[in-house]
Amino acid sequence: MNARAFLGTATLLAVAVTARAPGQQRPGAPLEVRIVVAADTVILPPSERLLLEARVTHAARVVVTVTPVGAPNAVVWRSDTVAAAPTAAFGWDLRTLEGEAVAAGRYALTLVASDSTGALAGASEVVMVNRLSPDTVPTPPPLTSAQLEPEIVVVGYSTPTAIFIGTAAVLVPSLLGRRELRGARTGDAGHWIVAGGVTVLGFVAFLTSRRLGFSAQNARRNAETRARRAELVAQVEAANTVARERAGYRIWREGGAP
Amino acid sequence: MNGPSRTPAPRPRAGGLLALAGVAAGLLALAPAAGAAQQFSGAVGSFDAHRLIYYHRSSYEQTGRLVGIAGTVRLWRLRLAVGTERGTLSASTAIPNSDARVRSDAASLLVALSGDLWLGVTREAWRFTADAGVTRWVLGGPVVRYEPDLGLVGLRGIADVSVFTVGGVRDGPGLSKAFRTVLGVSVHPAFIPVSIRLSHRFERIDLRAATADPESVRYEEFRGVVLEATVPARR
Repeated sequence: MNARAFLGTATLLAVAVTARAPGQQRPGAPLEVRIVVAADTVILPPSERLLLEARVTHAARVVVTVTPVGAPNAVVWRSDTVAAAPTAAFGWDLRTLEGEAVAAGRYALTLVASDSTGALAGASEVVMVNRLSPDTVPTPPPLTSAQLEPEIVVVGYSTPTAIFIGTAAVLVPSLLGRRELRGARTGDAGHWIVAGGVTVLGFVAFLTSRRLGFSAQNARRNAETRARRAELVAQVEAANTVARERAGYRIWREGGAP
Repeated sequence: MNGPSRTPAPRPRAGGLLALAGVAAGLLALAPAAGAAQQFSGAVGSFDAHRLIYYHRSSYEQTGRLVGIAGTVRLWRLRLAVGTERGTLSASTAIPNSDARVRSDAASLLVALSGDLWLGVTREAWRFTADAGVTRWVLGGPVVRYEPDLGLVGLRGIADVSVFTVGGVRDGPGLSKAFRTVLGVSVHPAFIPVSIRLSHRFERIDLRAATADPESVRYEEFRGVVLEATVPARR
């Protein structure tokens, strides 16, 4: 139990609601009980708990249940049954029996006591539970085009293919022609003409061609940028999740505070 | 001068060509249903040919211009082309060299392996008519055609290699080695609907000896510049 919650009891405006169990009262020592809760307090989960104090006029076993107002059978939380002589304290972690954070709303805190003779007595309080806004960090905005490098860029296009073809046009007749026919050749300059034409066109293309091309370097940078943002988003979301889980509750007793 | 392959005008053996022509006719018949994947083109061209002949330890040369036409149909990844060329090659020397009228009919069927690489087969029938008689060749074999983009719109290289693995002289010696290379460039300017091809064509035809005499081997080469204009007609 958190010290702060216990210190909150110093500001308790104790309200005692006494009920007598019909037909169970003893003439000498009727069992009277009351439940005491802070009039207005703030609880910071998961370390802090809301202090519920049971006070009885003589030794009895007590149990506290929490239900939404108007739904007495929908038990949100139930304490252990403990002995109170003359007091017993409970700490509600503001979670349901299923372990989930309790929703904001009006809740009835009901105390039931039974003594050794079997006499029953009960008391209740109504509290308002409100969740405080968590202290979260805004999620980083999506990447803009200005933050990313263009992956399709205009590049110069060059290919040695033209030079290969031109060279082949020059060499093929010499390399692949019959040795016996070399002497019969009279000025076949065609292959030189074609080779020159192909090579010149290849150089023209090499010097003037521009086309859209994929930039692997820019794509790699963009992937790194996206990964960094994803990592940052994950960190922020994790921090915000913790902040929401740890958002405080303000709890005040009806009639005790606004 | 046509050496041992001289024959008295035999009937042409054009079964392979007829088969390819049949395939072409079939593709053309399918054309109306083929949609945008089909493309037709027609071409005219000239081949400034040097024909070099080696026979019985002597070499001869003929020069001339062959003029041809060709048609191509493309269906998806297939390209079927048929063409013919003819002309006269003038002998540079006298007897036994003599002028020859040349006619060549060819058909090829190619399949695209990628955007610029084609593989297929070709079949050709050559007819040489000289004073001494008529000689016929039938050549066939695989073709590899590479037409790389050279970097400018409409500018592509041409590297075409045909290896004639079957055929030879009709009723004469067969081939010992024969191939053709066509190396050049094609330009298709954006402002005219015509593609211009400038290439150098080199052919080597080695024929086996026609007789027991090893001197009867015959080697021929064709070489020269080819200039073609192709008009595409996309349907």
